[in-house]
Amino acid sequence: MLLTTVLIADFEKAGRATCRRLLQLEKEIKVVGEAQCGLEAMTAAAKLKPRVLLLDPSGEGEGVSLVSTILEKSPKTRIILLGERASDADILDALSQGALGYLAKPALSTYLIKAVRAVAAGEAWVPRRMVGRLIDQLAPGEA
Amino acid sequence: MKGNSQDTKTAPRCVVLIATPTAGVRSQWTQALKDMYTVLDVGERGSLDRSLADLKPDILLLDLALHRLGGLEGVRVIRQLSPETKIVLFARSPNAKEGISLLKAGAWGYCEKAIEPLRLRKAVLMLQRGEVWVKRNLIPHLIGELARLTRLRTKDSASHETRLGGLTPREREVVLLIGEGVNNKKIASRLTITEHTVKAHLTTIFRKLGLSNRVQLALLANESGRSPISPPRSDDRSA
Repeated sequence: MLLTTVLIADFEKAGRATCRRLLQLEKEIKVVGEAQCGLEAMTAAAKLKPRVLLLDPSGEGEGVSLVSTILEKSPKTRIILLGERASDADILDALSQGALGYLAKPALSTYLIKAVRAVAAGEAWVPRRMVGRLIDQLAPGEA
Repeated sequence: MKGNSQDTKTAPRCVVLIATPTAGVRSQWTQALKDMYTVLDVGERGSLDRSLADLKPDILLLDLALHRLGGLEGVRVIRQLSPETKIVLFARSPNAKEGISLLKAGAWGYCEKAIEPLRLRKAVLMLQRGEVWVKRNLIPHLIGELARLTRLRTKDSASHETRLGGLTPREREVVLLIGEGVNNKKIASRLTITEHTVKAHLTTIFRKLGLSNRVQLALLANESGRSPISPPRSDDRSA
């Protein structure tokens, strides 16, 4: 069985605990570490090279710029952004830096496992409405 | 923008045009949709163009195998015939590269021709709601493309002057005038060229600079200051 390694980066203890509790129930998922701030997330990702990183970027005001920094250190890690209620602009920003998913924290218990499995398998996990927004970003405007 | 939704309950019956050379597919798709929508179908390019112009359908389900469609360019032309029509393209075996370029060209959806009737109904419903319809496995490619463009833009914006240096002297004159807010017609008369030529220059300039509209170009022209783009001479080293 191929193990999916997950690193949890959330400045809130409760958030980390929720993720760990949900992920522990799955045999093929292994939580390899936890980080409490952006810097820790970066160091841990560089060292552990997790398959999936759950990242709440709201802690230190570092924002989503963390995404590209972390991907430089661990390019194969697939990042799912966690947020209370991120704006479409923030989500787009994260995706444009290479994050592959976004999950609202209130939806964790329903979707966390599905989202982790999806990104581990090379898929994306974004709200359906974001697909249109994504294409708008790609499409050239009128001259 | 693709975020606008409309109330499907009160809206008038939505018109769906099906365009595929395969008669079996035409009848299958019509069956799947006719209770909810006004459905029309065509089997060749000529009647597609006529129907589009006459009907201005809300949604066009377009088979890429349609004879003489002309691929991406054909899709652009069709879009111009009826700009409000949301186009979903169907390929026998969809691939990410084709999908991305079609979506970038303004398509609202891209999927396999062998789609199940129930999925087709769902796709049309999503379109009506203002959402696009693509297969899930295309989404990571879209994100990858966005990330690639973002890296490119970041890199490029660091070197405006180098970028403008890649333009011909005439193109740089056009950029300078755009930066001053001059319209195409006036640019044409100032440079004593036709408006058509101005547009052709602009197309090339946008492509070279990776921009998509004249506002971006005007900003770039002004950010770069005057010296790098003004007087275009052979001994100009500022570029």
